[in-house]
Amino acid sequence: MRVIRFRYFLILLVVFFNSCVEKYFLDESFINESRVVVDALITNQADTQLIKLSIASSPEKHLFIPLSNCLVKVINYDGVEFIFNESDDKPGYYEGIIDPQFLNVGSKLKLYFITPEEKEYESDYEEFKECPPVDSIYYSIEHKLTNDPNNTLDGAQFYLNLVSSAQYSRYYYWQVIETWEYHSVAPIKMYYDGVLHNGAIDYSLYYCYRTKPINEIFILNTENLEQNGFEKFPLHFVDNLTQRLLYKYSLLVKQYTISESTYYFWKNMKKNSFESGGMFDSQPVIIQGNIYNIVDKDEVVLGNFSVATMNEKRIIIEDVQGLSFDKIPSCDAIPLEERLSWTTPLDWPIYFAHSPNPDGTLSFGVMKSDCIDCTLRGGTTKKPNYW
Amino acid sequence: MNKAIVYIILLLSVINSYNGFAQEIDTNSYSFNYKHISLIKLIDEIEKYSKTKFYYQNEWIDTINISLVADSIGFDDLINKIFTENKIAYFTDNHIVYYLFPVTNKIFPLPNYSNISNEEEEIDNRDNKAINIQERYLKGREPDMLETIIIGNSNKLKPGKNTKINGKLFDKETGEPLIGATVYLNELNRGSASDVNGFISLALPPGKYSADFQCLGMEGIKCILDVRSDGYFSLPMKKGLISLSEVVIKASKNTKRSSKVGLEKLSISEIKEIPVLLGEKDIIKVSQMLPGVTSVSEGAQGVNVRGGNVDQNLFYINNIPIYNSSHLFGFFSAFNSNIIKDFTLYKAHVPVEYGGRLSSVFNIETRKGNKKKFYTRGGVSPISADIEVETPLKKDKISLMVSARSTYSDWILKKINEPDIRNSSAKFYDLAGAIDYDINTKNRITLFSYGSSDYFSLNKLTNFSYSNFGTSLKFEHRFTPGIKSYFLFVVAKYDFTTIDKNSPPEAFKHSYSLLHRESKLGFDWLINEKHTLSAGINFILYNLDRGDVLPYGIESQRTINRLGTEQGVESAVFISDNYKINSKLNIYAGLRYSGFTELGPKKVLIYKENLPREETNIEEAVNYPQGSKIVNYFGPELRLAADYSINMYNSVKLSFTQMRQYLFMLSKTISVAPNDQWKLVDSHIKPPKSNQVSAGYYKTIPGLGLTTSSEIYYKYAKQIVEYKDGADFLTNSNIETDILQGNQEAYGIEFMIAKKEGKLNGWITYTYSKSFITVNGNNFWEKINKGKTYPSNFDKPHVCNIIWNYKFNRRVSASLNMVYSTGRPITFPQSAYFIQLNPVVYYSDRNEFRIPDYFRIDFSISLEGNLKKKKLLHGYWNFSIYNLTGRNNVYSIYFRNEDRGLQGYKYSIIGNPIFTVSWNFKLGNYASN
Repeated sequence: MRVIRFRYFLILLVVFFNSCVEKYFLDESFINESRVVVDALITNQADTQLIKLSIASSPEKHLFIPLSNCLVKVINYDGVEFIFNESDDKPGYYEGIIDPQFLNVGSKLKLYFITPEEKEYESDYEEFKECPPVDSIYYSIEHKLTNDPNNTLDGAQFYLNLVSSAQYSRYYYWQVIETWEYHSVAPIKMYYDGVLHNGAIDYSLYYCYRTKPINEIFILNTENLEQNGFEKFPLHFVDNLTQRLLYKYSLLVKQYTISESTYYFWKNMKKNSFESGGMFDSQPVIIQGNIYNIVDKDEVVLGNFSVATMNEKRIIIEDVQGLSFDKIPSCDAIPLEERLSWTTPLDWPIYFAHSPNPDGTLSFGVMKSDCIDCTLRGGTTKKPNYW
Repeated sequence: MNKAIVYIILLLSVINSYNGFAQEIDTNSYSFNYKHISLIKLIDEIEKYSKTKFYYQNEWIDTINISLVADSIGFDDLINKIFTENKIAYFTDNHIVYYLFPVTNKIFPLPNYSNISNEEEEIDNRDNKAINIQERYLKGREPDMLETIIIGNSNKLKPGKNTKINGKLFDKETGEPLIGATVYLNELNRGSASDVNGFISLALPPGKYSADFQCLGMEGIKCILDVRSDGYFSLPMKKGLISLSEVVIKASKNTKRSSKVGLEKLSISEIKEIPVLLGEKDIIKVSQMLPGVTSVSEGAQGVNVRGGNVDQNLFYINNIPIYNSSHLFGFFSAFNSNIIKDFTLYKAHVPVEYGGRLSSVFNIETRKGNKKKFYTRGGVSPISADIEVETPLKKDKISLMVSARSTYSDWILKKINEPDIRNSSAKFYDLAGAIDYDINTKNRITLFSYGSSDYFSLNKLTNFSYSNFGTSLKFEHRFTPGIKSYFLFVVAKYDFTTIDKNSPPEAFKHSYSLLHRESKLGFDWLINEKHTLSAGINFILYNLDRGDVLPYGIESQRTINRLGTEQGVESAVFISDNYKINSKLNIYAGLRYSGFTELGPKKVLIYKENLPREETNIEEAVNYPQGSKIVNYFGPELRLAADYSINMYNSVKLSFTQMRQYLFMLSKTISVAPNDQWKLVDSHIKPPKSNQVSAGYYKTIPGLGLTTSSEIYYKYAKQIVEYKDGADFLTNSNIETDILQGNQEAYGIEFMIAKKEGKLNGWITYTYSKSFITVNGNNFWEKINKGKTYPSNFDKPHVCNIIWNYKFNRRVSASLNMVYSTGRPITFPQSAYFIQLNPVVYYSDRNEFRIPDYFRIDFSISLEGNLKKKKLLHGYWNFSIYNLTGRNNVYSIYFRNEDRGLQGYKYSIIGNPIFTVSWNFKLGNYASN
């Protein structure tokens, strides 16, 4: 159920009152005492399972504060234990391998850990539920209205169909990971790194690929629907202001069946994080996870231990029709004659290239490094194997 | 006193102005405005400007100070005002030389020459000397004589018993009853006030009394009541052409703020000049300027009275209960203020006739129509227009009133860039109609109908509509002057529809309706001068259809969810006695015995004991057939009140009030939403109950025209309904699984200083109050906020309101108001963590923090049309600036996930001054009403 968007209506009522929004900063004095956080999702598809233990951070500056040197175990219903060891390079990340026979539908697992201060924590048992395959993932070109009545924000809205049946769980969670190809403005032709190079055209930093998870929680509960299925479940929206849809775009959708308690944990989590404080919002929910301090039941332990059966599907999109990409910010050459003499090695290499002027002519000058070196924009030049 | 003369204008009016001989009678007209001037000084002034001479001895009058405000009155009237009304005897034979006489303590009833033969001997034991003097000068001045009203017939007098008399006070011009008019009997040193139908009841020994009738906005009347036996009288009162023309009676009894603790009254004339948002005069918004009445925030629906929830208030408009009293989400109230005649708020002592809500009763009485002639008025503001028409259907007997108000605010929305708003639409209207039939002095019938409707569409994705419709029929019958009865029949319906298309596969339509049918029979019996008894019986039949949540549109994959119907009867018997022990002490004792019976058909789920009420813990389902009893709740509600007058200027009042509530609102948001459902108590949810103790001290400072009051209260309510985290009323037909019941505690102290007369009037209030909720059941699943007490969403400890009106003259007035309150409580994020790369927030204890304080100043100027007596239409303009200082008052603080972390935002609705012009008109001249 979507929370009715009263906040918008209030904005509606009051824009003609010149309503305004200003930033608000929390008072440092009520940043809280440390609380243990558990982030664990055990799936049937992973070779190495990961459990993250940390300490909660200030709400205004999200930091991962690792909780190191814990003894971490996953225990099945019959008492079989799987030890998780802290990763050497990533403190707070505990890795372990669980034999696939304990990850079947119907298996039950729980988490146990003890901190260096000898505080013992345990979770409830969580059960694997059967997961249907991912049905179809598709998009439609949509034009979203913006504050400027003459302009829309154009892009592709992605959707997913869920086809399931009564035997499956009615609670779903999707993780969406996007990968896209993007190009530099120009290949390297002329650059200066103390010496001026002007050689062959070099495409080595021209093509890049970037992978990024979509930071949104996609969950669904089909309890109130006629069938255990859903058509056109909205995923994310990709606008035409980046190169994402220009060359080639890929989505990996991981579909999980989760338990009812995990669903509500995530639902409340989503509610608190994205819809809070408005007049027509509810009071923030106390998110009750399934982990407890064995001795002190009143201690607040954040996070959840979840198990899920997972199926995934990847789609690749090329030649998106109906979108223009002329709004992608371009790189302009900066004509600077004297520039080289006062650069330092920190600025090197300095790239030179042509960039088009509005009148069609080309102008020559210095290009910002990330316009030429695509790896400076977060991607890698290594082509993914599915490309 | 030396600064007492504010100013004096002697208007030597050109018309008929003689500059002639001393013997000429003065025909000039005079305007005065004095405050507390000594009489000697005033006489000097008069002698200076007119050709008169006064003879007196200083010691007779040197202690007398008077206040006098008069505009264009003739010399004779002026003299009459100064002396007769201040009980100073005088004599003149040529209207030039005046002889004053020593002051006596009492005003004497003056003989009416036409009735002089009927004069009884009773008054003869009075000061003969004074009578002779008065007789002497009154000869030949018949118009100045006090009228005598003869009531009853000596033949019917039952010896040794008090008589009961009943008078009807009405507006001479319109025939409308005057509410809250007072009579004061000098001989008995006591008085009474008229009820909503303009009736005044008195029990007193037969005899003659000099009576002083007063009503706000009307000219006071002094007359003799010659009471011979039980009987009726009626008294028309004239409009005080200008309220300023009244001579302030310093010791007036009726200037006290209220007769019971926690009683607030407002008349529409008091709120006319108060600046309001977008020019919409609004009695509910003005009531929030009174102590003890707040709302969650600007523009929030409903009010919170003395720390109670929004659903703990009962709104009546002419006995029709209004289940949603707001237009446009609460920015305006659903009552067209042009038809409101009288407004009463009971927030502490609630008379036994009323019940069913824990916090308060808002009682609105509308105009019933002009019985003399056609009348209309209306107004235009930037967002709405309204009109009211009144006409007699049968002169002096039957009147009709109809009104309509509608909005045209869409044009504003279309101008806004934000797409969610551009594609939205908002509409509302309200209608009212009344027929009032004065059959005779003993019988009266009033029929009233009311309707209001709202529609808004949010970005074409969510539509809300709701409406209230109701009709009340009241029949009043007076058996004897001392016994009256009334029978009331009311039908009211509230419904709403929500269509949500935000996500096509989940799109739904939900319609809800509540039908309220009520009948009430009541008696008021004036037993004798000490006792007034009220008793009655009251039934309400509720039919709630919580509605079906239906799939909407072809893409919707929702299942139909029937939330079910509920029905029940609320019944009450009540009796109260108002006992005037003596002229100082008055005690009210009342008992209301109320109950509720839930009726089938209904499927009731029985849950396993000592387990949370959840679907998995259902033991069995019991089906109750139509009309069968499911559960009963009965209990007494004690209502006690006492007031004690320490002296003429000081009094103390106490009250103890018990209330029970049988329906409540399913509302889990901070502010009430237009699709929040009302729900009856049932076998799982027990009725909320409250006890309130209240005490007040009231003081009048007559010299300054001020009344002050201080009230203190403590309220404790049990079985208040609260909601579990994640409660969802649209998918859940078994509400008990989402509900917990807890306790609400509220206390506070309220101060008010009011000045209701004079050029400068208004009030200042300060309230300190707290309101808490605790939900701490025995089991862990029966706790909210881990069982710890938390402040309610509307807990605002400090509230200070100032309303300040200044009348420059009859055509121009200015008004300023100031509102300050502590910010409402809020739950803040305390820490953040990551789950599957998503940032998650951990929140503080519920309502542990507060948003910044609220402060606002509004200003308005009203310009009245010209003061010509004969004109068809009188118009007035109101120019107002809301939020004069442009302060960004924080409406809410919300948090969004941004790259680095959670970013908080302060959201202010009104960040600039808002200027509004509105125009109102009425038929007739300045003074028409």
